[in-house]
Amino acid sequence: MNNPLCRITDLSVGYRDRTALTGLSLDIFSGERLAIVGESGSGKSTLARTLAGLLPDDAVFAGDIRWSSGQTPSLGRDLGFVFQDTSASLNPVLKIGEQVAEGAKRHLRMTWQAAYAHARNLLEHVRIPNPEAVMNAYPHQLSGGQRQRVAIAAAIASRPSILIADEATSALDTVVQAQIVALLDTLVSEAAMTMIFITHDIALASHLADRIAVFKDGRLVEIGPAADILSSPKDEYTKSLIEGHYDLASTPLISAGRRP
Amino acid sequence: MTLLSVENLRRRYVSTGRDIVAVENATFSIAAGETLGIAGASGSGKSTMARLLLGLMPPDAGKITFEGQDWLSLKGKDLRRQRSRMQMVFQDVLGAFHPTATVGETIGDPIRVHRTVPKPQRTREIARLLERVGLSSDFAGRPVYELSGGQRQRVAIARAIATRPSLVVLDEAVSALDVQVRNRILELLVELQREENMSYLFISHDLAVLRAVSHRLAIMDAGRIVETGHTSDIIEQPQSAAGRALVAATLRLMPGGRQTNTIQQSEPTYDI
Ligand SMILES: Nc1ncnc2c1ncn2[C@@H]1O[C@H](COP(=O)(O)OP(=O)(O)O)[C@@H](O)[C@H]1O
Ligand SMILES: Nc1ncnc2c1ncn2[C@@H]1O[C@H](COP(=O)(O)OP(=O)(O)O)[C@@H](O)[C@H]1O
Ligand SMILES: [Mg+2]
Ligand SMILES: [Mg+2]
Repeated sequence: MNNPLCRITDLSVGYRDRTALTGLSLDIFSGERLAIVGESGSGKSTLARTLAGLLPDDAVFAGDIRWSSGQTPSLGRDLGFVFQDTSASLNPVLKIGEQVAEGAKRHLRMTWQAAYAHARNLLEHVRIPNPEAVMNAYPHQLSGGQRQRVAIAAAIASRPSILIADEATSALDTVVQAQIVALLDTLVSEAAMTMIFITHDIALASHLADRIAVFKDGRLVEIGPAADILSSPKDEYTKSLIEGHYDLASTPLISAGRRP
Repeated sequence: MTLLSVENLRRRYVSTGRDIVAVENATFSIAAGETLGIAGASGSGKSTMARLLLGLMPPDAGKITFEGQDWLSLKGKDLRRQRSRMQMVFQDVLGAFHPTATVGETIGDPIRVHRTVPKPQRTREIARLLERVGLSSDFAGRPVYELSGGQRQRVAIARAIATRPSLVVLDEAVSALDVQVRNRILELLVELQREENMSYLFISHDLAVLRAVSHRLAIMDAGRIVETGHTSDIIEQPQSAAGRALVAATLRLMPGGRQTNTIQQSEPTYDI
């Protein structure tokens, strides 16, 4: 493969009382969609925070992260971040228009007027109905799904080349989740962004990713093209994640849909 | 035999500036030993329905008959006795329990309140219940906050079945759990149901989970029950728009990856 956008070598990260990532080596390629999959506590968010420069000050960090550009991408300019919880992305006392325009004004050096027009277009782009009205609304006036659309608009306002989505759909119900996943799919394709998609749901990863990395207990257990990982996993843990997935074709635990 | 029947239930919230009808004209029933799954988007009224059934808030209108009694007019001793027959398991166990309480205290609480087991036998009963949900009896002395999410949910189940209820209301009880842990809990619930002949009202936004455990389904949309039927009938041929949206949004694992992507995108709803 070509040169990686980012090469992570032997990365370990610890918090005060525990190790969160151990000996992680991983390449991220420009324009790819890399899914990081694993159960809660496996270190997925720690990797996301490390890449985005969001680790707490007291975190202990060892190893090497090398970006092909020679410098760490700046959060909010080169790298957009979408959190699970929109209260981490959106300021509750700022109008939607202001928060989405803010990133564009700062990083694209737009006037407020131009940034506002850009923000309005972005809201339309993330398929917020009636963007004019939403520009003047506050986050709490929107549903969870609409808030996540706004958070995505804010994350891409500066036209970053990298987007990290950390469980961006996990707090949403399945119908809204499918809508947001489809939106991310479109946005990332249009702008040829590199996407790092973090999820505990391997089925979700199967719909979005080019490559899948499986984490367990702070270690990378397996990485490869999505089709390989999903159809012929080598690791026992990956197999158990795939087998444990329930969908509408799985065998029910009770005799199907019959009265007792 | 009908265990629970709900007729024309209605509940409205009055909050700053606007009224929300959270449950409207809801009618359904649950047979003994049956699991009724309630599916619906977030905000469709599922949790309000759970709170109304459990008597955590009164409905504005409607009728609930539980074990042949008019559930809403029960008072005093009768209410207390009957309450022990309907228990609950919620998503956020830590929120529902006293955080520093031990596992033993947490499980023993309903037994104490409802006096279903004489005092000298309570420790033995707690050990039996722990074993019943797959935990060793030494868990009794541990504080709840020390437990993993799956262990806490097992404690919640032990507590719920402690009074030998005929109905357990589960509101997103497995939604916060990792897949493997979730599956073990679902298996435990199905096994307990078979052995104790309990009914479940199983609430989830995840149709795949509901399909695994429910004999029948009810689909909620904007406070109304828009469809009820046998699980396989609804999954195969949903009749309501909300049912179709839920079926379409339930992700399959695509073994070939995203080249075979079939994500469906319905129009976003505008709700400001
Ligand atoms: N700020 C923090 N301080 C201390 N421990 C943390 C902190 N953030 C995460 N951890 C711990 O690090 C481990 C990995 O966490 P995380 O990266 O959040 O995993 P995931 O996103 O896969 O759930 C877990 O054991 C978690 O409890
Ligand atoms: N305590 C409350 N006060 C005001 N509105 C509420 C309250 N609880 C729920 N609601 C509203 O009632 C509707 C149904 O909510 P809920 O029963 O929690 O639905 P679900 O569990 O299906 O997500 C939603 O519009 C919600 O915002
Ligand atoms: Mg995380
Ligand atoms: Mg709810």
